[in-house]
Amino acid sequence: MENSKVEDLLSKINTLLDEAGTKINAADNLQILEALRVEYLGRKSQLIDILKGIKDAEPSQKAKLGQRSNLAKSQIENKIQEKIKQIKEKELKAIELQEEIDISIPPSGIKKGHKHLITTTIEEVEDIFMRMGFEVHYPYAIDDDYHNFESLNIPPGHPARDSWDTFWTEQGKIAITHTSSMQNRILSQQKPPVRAIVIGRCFRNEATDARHEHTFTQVEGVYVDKGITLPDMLGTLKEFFSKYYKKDLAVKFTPDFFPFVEPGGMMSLSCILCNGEGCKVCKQTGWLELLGCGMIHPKVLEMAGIDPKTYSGFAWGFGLERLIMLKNNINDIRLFNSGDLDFIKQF
Amino acid sequence: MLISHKWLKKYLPTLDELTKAQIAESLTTKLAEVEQIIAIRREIDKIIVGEVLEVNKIEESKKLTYCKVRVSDNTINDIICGAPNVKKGLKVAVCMPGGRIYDAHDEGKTIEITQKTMFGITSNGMICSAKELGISNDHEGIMELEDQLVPGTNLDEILKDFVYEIENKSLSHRPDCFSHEGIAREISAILNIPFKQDEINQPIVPTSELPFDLSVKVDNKDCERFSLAILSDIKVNKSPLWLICLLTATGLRSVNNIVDAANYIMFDKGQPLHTYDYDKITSKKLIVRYAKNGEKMKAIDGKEYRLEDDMMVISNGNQVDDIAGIMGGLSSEISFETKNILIEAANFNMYSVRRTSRKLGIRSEASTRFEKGQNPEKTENSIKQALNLILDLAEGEIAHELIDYYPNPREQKVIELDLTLVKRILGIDLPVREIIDYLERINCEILDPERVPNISSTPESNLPISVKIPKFRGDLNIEQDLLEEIARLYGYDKLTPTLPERDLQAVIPNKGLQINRLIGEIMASEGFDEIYSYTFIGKQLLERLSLNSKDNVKLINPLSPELELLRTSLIPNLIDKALLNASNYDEFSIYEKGRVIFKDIDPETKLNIQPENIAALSFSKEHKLLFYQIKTSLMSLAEGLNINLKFSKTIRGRFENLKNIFHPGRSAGIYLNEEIIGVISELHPKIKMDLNIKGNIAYWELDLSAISKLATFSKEYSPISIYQKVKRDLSFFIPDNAIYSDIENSINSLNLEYLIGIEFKDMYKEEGNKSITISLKFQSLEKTLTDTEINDQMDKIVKVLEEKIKAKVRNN
Repeated sequence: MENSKVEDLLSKINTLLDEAGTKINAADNLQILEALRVEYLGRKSQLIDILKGIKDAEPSQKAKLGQRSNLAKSQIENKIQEKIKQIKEKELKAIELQEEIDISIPPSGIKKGHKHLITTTIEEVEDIFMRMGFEVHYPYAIDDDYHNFESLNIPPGHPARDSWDTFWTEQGKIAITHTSSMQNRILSQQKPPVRAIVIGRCFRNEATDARHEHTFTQVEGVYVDKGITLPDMLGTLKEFFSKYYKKDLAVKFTPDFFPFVEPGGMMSLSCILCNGEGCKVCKQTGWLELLGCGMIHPKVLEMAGIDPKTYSGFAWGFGLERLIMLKNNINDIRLFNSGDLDFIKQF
Repeated sequence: MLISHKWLKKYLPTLDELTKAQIAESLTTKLAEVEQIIAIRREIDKIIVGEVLEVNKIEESKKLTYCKVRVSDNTINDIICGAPNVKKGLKVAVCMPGGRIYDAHDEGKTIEITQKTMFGITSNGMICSAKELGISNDHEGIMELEDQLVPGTNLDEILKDFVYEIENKSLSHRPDCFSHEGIAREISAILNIPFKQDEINQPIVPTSELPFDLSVKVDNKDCERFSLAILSDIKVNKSPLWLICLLTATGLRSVNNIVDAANYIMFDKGQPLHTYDYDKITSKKLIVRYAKNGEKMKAIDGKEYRLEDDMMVISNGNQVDDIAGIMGGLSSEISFETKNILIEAANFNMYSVRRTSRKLGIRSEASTRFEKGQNPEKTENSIKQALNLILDLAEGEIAHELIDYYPNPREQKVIELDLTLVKRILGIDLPVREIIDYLERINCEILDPERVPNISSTPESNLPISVKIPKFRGDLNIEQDLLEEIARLYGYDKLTPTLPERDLQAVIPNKGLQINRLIGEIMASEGFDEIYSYTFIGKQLLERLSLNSKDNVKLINPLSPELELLRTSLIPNLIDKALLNASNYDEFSIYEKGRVIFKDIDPETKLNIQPENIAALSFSKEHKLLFYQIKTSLMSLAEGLNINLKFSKTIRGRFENLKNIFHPGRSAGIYLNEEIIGVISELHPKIKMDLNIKGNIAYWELDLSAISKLATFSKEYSPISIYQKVKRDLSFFIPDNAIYSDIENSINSLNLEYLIGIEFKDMYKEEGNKSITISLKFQSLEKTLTDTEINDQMDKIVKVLEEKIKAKVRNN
């Protein structure tokens, strides 16, 4: 092959290279670039034609032209790749800009519902007592005189019944006045040690105001075993309340009368708001009277088939709403049964 | 209960060595809460006894007079007075210049008395009305004092007092404490200060004679003792100032010296007394008996009471004169004309008195005491005390010896006390000496002292000691009662809390608890807010929902008609609460969990059937289809509880009672193993119209008690196939009466080997036919399914649908 022809071909490659470079630079989308790739690098491209035309060239010429055209190919390819990258970056930039939003707009329709505050508190109380080894029971809503009163050493006609304003049904049953209605069943059904709490809804026939409700939740508890003492009761309840209010509280026991305990009394807690310093809530006394409790009366144990000479135990009962009201600063007990979502959704 | 500090001093001579706060604190920590210490007439000052010597008219005034009043041995003051009852010789209360009295026209305020000159007369002090002295509301005239008072005597000591208000609910087992004597005994025991017994009374010796008969015709259990004394020639009069002051300080009104004396003894000893006008009991006899049904008595409160045959009364043979232990009759009431009187001190059964008092709606100071169960021993001493007091206040003669019905005198109780219980139950180490000291302080006596172990060490032997109980402590019956006495006198505040030693056994949460927790989570994640509503419901709400109340259990003593019935379903209250929230929220979902109560009695528990239910409700302000939306929450719950619910248009059983609120075209019974366990529905359009509800309401209710028996929490792994899942859609027409579940049931009846799921895609009506599309999924655990295998199964499906529900497959 003539050298001049070789030179021609080499300059043609250069021209192609320039031409391709200009077109690639001008391309503004990926389709055009793909077309340019076919045009300059495809099987029918001029570069391939050039290479086909040098079959009869001398080896040194072949090598020279081959090298030059391969270099041109890779240069074009690089330019195309470079351009693709540029275009993609530009497109992404556009998308980014286009898709930018106001992230501060609140979403509509949060779906999460709310458990009632009494339910979550019941769970909390159950968990603390279960960790302390107490089983959990639930009461009937309607029970009989025997379980609500008689088996707790409150015979019919006894003046102590005045303390429990009772709703009676036309069938002679009772809307339970305390969850102690389960005490006889629990003590009869298992052998000591018995550790159990009963949480449930109770009813008292009394007028309703911000501090009184005819419907409320009670947590009653019993612990019967050999060697259970009055200080054990104080310790157990102190432990519960300290865990519930998440601070170390002091307890105080003062005399009171409940027919199902002897000795029996009222337990007070050092005021959780002022830590016993004295405030409006505790009427400057530093103490909150929270629950009735005492050592289970031997007659109650006997009625449940437990020998009071061998075993002793304590029992208590407190209202859950009062605990919650103190903890969550709620001033009207009627909110709990109001069904008002403005209240429910807060917790 | 109000207890006078001054009154207590009669029993506790050293009481003033303690502060009022100390006394209140020790009662609160060791007996019952002292709610407050009330100052009685403490704000008035410089009140002395005066004697009116002259009453002179003032020409210029219609009302006013000026009086010469002796205010001490050698001082006579001019005092202007406007009272109509001022007269010569009267003993009066005078407030001296510089002193203070209560303002008769401004409740609770006091005014200062100063020297004043009117009509040229200088008035040195003021003669006071009962109201100005803070004794009563009487301001008609000046207070007339008894003649025995000496002019110039300062009345501070008589007028002023402090009163302890004691919470008596916690004393319902302590009948002895409903008296000053009882509280004084307690203070003596608690603070270990001397107690001065009332002087032993001399026998009752008649000095005149009035005939009388008594017969007791009731069970001895109902009336253990009935003591009666008779006085003749008494002078009914006003009470002396000291008595009026004590009674008014402790909450009573002064009536006359006889009634006041009886009330004084009741407040002093805790023994209610009843006084009759002897001459008004013409039959000269009293009969204690049960009333006849329908018998009537007009009581001293002016009301007529209709009696029943379980009520004890005291009759004169012709009519009822007293409802035993509760209230006396008007006909034999003491008046200022009364000459001769009967004084009754009886012991009536606590249960009988309580029952009668409740039935008649009368609560009196007497019934309050009898209801607690009084000690029959004290009737005699109380009557003697009353006689002494009345003879002192109203003169008279004892006209009969004591008439006393007491067939079965009470024995004194002895409790065998195991001293080691002090450690075992109270958890305290006390030397025997200290234990015995506490028992003796409450008037117990230790019998057989040789059985008492070494007093300086803590009890070691469980051989009991014998403790003799004073008769006034009816509440002490068993060892534990004595333990309480020991513990409270030792001081509950000295107990150190301890934690019991226990085994390490882990608690197993009960199934109800586990289900509750799971439900709470699922319902919250489904967007439902939990509400609580009352277990009680009113007829009115049910009627608004076109529901009847014949199946609801009724309360016999409801607080109000809205709270008269027990709910048989949670839905009515949920609808009620939904309407309450509808004005604040465009869309919401709520649920409630709780017991519903039916009339039927469970043969095993003998209690009403009272399953725990859960009900959910969705509200939307838009009138849109809510049925499927609320069904989603139900299905999530079913999945969580691992149960397989079925739906049918048939609603049976208890839920049928609610049919008037079910939407006829959008309601279903929910079934679990062929048992109906719930319902799901939209609210009936008629109810929406009736209640003018804008929007839509859908709800469901489930019997959780039934579900909890079947719900399981353990799930087993099923192998996951590595071969491809193949999905085929199938569209066909079904007749109008066929429903989607018919399709699933038909296909499932084939038990196809490779079919692993049927999914509903859509349904629409076209030319009177229902067109339905379902998607079927096939997969094998062992191989990749071929077209032939799947086609074969599809053919079977088409065939069964054609046969069983007359489906026509669409060519598309």
